[in-house]
Amino acid sequence: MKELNIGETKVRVRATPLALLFYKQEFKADLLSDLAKMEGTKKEKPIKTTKEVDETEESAINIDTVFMLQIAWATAKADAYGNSKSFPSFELWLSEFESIDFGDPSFCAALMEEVADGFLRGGKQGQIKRRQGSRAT
Amino acid sequence: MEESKDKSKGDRDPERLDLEILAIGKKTGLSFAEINEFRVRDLLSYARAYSGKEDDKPRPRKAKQKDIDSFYAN
Repeated sequence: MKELNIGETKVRVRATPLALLFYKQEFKADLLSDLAKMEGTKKEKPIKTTKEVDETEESAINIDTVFMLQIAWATAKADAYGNSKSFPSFELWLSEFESIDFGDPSFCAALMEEVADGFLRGGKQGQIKRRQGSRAT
Repeated sequence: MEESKDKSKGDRDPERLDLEILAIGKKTGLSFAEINEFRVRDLLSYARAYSGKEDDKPRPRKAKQKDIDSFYAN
């Protein structure tokens, strides 16, 4: 479980199997496939060493912000599962935030860390190893 | 015949990984709330461990002639 800052609001997110279902039900798409597609577009960019990749640059250029918010919504809904209060739809949930700072790298970094830890085999460590492996080849 | 084959294939959508994972969790007897406490890889590890333990359970042994005789004797 992670806590994200979206604007002034703190949002708890949890990457669980139910988040995959909520994402599919709301957006009619598979979260893991979309994640793989995003990873694919990253790989098409010129290869840089780990030191050359600036975290801010990566989050600003390569990351689809709507996709990030969709993941945040699905994982936030999973975290709220079991609460008596019903969880709002994606549009209503977005309207709860007064502002969203996409320039804040901590939002994307924390969310991707939760996603890697919850959904991907080997978690963040495994993802880093796989990335390093693909860069080496 | 061919159509019914296609239909049964269509019922089991291989792209619904979300449902497959939830079904694995339900098969191990977990509720959705309990499944929601797991990360995906932990749930898969749990299911693997759970099904492995099931195999280790002592099963009823095959009856021998002695068992059959004692059954009919009573």
